Amino acid sequence: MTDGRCAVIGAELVCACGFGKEACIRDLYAGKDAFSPVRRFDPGHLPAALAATVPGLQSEKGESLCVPMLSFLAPMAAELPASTPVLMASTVGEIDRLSDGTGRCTLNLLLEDTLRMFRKTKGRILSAACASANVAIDRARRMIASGMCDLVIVGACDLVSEFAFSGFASLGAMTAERARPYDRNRSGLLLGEAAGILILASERAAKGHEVSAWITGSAIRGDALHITAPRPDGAELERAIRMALGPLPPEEIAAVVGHGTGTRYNDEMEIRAIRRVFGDTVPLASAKGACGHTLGASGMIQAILAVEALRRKTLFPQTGLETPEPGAERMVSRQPQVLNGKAALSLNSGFGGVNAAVLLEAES
Amino acid sequence: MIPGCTIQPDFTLRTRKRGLQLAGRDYPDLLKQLLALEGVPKANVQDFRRGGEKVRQAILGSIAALYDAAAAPEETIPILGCGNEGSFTENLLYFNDYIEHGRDGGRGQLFVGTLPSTPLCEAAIALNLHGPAFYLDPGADSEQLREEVELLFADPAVSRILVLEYRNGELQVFCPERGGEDLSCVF
Repeated sequence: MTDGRCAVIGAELVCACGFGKEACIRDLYAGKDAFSPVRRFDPGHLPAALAATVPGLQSEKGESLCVPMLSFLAPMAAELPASTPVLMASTVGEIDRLSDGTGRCTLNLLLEDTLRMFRKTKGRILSAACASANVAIDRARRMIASGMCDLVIVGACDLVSEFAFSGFASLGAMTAERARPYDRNRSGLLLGEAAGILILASERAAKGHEVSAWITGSAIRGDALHITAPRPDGAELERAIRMALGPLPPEEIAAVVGHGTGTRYNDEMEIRAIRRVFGDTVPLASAKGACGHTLGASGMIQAILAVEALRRKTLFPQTGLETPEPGAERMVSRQPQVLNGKAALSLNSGFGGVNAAVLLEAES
Repeated sequence: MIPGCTIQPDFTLRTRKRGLQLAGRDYPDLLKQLLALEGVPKANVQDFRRGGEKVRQAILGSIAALYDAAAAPEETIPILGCGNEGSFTENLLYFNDYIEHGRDGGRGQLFVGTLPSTPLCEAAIALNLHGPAFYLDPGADSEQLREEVELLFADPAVSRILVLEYRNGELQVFCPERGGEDLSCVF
């Protein structure tokens, strides 16, 4: 057993801001969003018209749009030994191949393409609704902590699709306007797409690599209450946060990169849980005001942004924010927030009441 | 033998250890028979709420597996789903229905079932289980399932795990306990 922490020794990302994590970081810190009218399918009959799609994303005939995103990530993954396990997070995988006649599970297709392109022999899909990426990071940290392996590639990938677009619309979860996480007048989410990887390593395996941050804690807790609505008081998210913190005092947390979908119920619950642990002044921001809700990949974007926030000692501004939700006035800001402290928390909450918290600490 | 059960799409249930066999007219009938048995864990189920077939099997199977293990539904029990099928059938059901209805709007009830974690979470809701619930697809490498079970047991708060494996319409549920037989005998 190790002390339970693992090092982040590599990270890469594709999202609607562009190819490369720098594009996402640049836009988020500039307060820019990446939404544009949906052209991949006709959304005319659905209540939203915007989504955060990767610019110029195209695939070969018969291939999923996941493939060009994975292709961008592959060089970093391919540097590692073929036996390095891959934990791939996704809600529905290569959903654009659902009706292509193969009769195959779209998650299974994603796993196959990932292993082929990353040149790896061992990997698994992890699917826990919109908490999939944080769940995968949690499992990877535990694999390393248990001594099962020294290196793990955590991946995440989900697409903007007519499937998900119509589905979230059917639940009344989408907005016809802009996504405004943590805003008093928020009216729903907008979808996005992304793929990313984190290379996690044990202390031993991290020697000789540049360590951008440490993942020092994580936890998963279920609401066990409702299949789509979160528990209103956020009690189980609070519990996940406290479990992830372990012995670390809450005042050591410099920032929270929240799930912040822009729906009324999620943001309200999340703010309640965060306030109970940290009070009402901890800096908080969500990437979904800029990159959209990237479903199973949202925790991946968040982890990369949390690492960057610790490096810069500054949290990105809240894109889309106009008037903060009551109770969050001193937590969210349209301006970048200067951070005091060396630790940040990333939160996911998904359908089924899955809550997952990941604790990241700066390399000292 | 690891406790657990098998649920078949013809509404029959068989537990692994106690050898209980039930046959129902449908899943609600099977549930009624199961809940009438002495020593069955209490469950918050009202005619399966909104769930489709996999949800119904998951709820029934989780209750029956805990009964077979003579175990109470401790709140820390994790639920691990597997079986390579994901939610392909449910995804097609939702999307074809959406297309057949002129793409005017999907049916939310069907969309909710399109995640492979949905049946696990519905079982967690029914039994008030707050441990991790997620779906794992290891391709053809079942060793990774055993690894995941080992990891879940590395948490000292976890004394039992529910492992739900869907295959060809059938659900098998295993309820390994800490220190008991490992899953190498079944996977």
